[in-house]
Amino acid sequence: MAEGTSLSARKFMQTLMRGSQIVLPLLAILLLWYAEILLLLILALLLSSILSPLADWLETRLGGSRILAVLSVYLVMILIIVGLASMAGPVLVQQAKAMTAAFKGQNLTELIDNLRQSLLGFIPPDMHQVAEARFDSLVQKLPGFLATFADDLAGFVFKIASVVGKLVLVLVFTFILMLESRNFKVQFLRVIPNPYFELTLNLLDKISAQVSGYLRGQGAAAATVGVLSTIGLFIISVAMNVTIPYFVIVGMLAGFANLIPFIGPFVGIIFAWIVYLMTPQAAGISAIVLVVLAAMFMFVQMIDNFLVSPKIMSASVGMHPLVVIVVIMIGNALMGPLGMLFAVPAFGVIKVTVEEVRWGLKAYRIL
Amino acid sequence: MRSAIWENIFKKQAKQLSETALAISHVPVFSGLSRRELREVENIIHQREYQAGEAIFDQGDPGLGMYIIIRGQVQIVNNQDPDNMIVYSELNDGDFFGDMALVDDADRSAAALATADTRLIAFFRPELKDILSRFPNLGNKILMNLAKVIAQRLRKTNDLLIEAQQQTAGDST
Repeated sequence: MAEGTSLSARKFMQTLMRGSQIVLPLLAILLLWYAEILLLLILALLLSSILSPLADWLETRLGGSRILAVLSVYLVMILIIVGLASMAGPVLVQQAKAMTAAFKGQNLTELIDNLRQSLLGFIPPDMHQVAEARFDSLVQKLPGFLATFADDLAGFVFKIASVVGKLVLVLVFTFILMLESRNFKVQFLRVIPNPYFELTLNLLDKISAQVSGYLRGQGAAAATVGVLSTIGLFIISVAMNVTIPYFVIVGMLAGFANLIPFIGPFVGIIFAWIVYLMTPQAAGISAIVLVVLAAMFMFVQMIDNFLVSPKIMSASVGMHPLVVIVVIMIGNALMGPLGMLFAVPAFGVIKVTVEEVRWGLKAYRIL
Repeated sequence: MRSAIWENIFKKQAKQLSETALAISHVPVFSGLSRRELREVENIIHQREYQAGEAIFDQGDPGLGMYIIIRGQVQIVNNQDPDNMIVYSELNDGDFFGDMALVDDADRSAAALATADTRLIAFFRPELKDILSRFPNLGNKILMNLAKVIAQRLRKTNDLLIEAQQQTAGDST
């Protein structure tokens, strides 16, 4: 009888494969048409998988009322965002304004001169001529690069209005998903054919546990690195009596960059060095400060790698460095710098899903 | 004079349990659950229809949870050898099977086949975990019931083992 089942399962798969030749292109056209909505839905699905455990925890404590639990999660989320915005917001805006001003007009030439002088301090005198020539050729390319960057930034600002609209949509989708997730799951499983019912349920359970664990882990690790780096930069600037401007932005960037394995940790160091070298220092540029800055970022990485990540990462999403580079390049090609940042976590989610599906198909002897 | 409001409230309270909730309440794993708790379980269980001859699960599949028969007939079989299928038991309305898979994820030790058109309720480990995290009291009740069912089976197995040992000792003397 089991033979019969696996035969009927195989027959179903064959029919599915044949049907897919017509259905898949149609589906692809539909997906392209509704790609944006689909993307927003996927984002909502991921966000709901991150927030659902908190809603479950609150549901128990609020007498079993799901709607009250979900509303409470939203309230907590809004309070955290408002709290963070009111605490870090003014500093962030001030630093962002100062940084934009610094990268514009005459200030830029002054900053480049500072950087040139700082870098020449680390190069032997007989190499100065070659180094200056290289530096000049790089500087000549810089205005073009900055103009493109500024255009991108202006475009991004104009896009913010539509981004806010989409964000509201994602939050609405997330709300509905968190409220009705169990009902949706039951309804979805109702249409799954009997031979694939247990497999689908098992996969849904495993994938949602792995993906939400992975995303929560990534988020927590990025937040830890961001906060610790900001604190570290502040301590260095006070303890060593040096000016490290925009340290909140540098710290936050280090946190976001932590989403990219191998490369991420160096982004914080390099950005902090550039900011330090471009700023005129009362006591002159010191190599020790550069070493201390690098050591601080390394120390933060160690805390993350040995204390934070092992405790919060439920899924081990090991990736080969070559894969990471290719994934980042694809992210850049698809969505630019933002794509580079989120390409690795997105690939992590896909990898976890594919691995679980492969396990399921093998365990239920469909493959 | 009777108040229409109170009458309506009590009418709602006295509302009959659905067929599914009623079937669940007769299963030892869900015994002693209040109406509200039964409805909570009802909201997350899965209802499935199988045709006569259709497999519910195969021997060796990863164990995921239990099934309760609402209507129909199910055979628990060893079908590793297609020419020599061994029938372990035949189950009917109200019976349940696969309950051990609620506590461990070992592979299914036997296959389950519908021998008539059958309507089942499926209650699986992810749902049990969900209940345990959201309603710990309800989850604990189910777990205690499950422990009782397993303890009863263990006792029965012990009795059979003792009986078999005594029989072997009697045969050898």
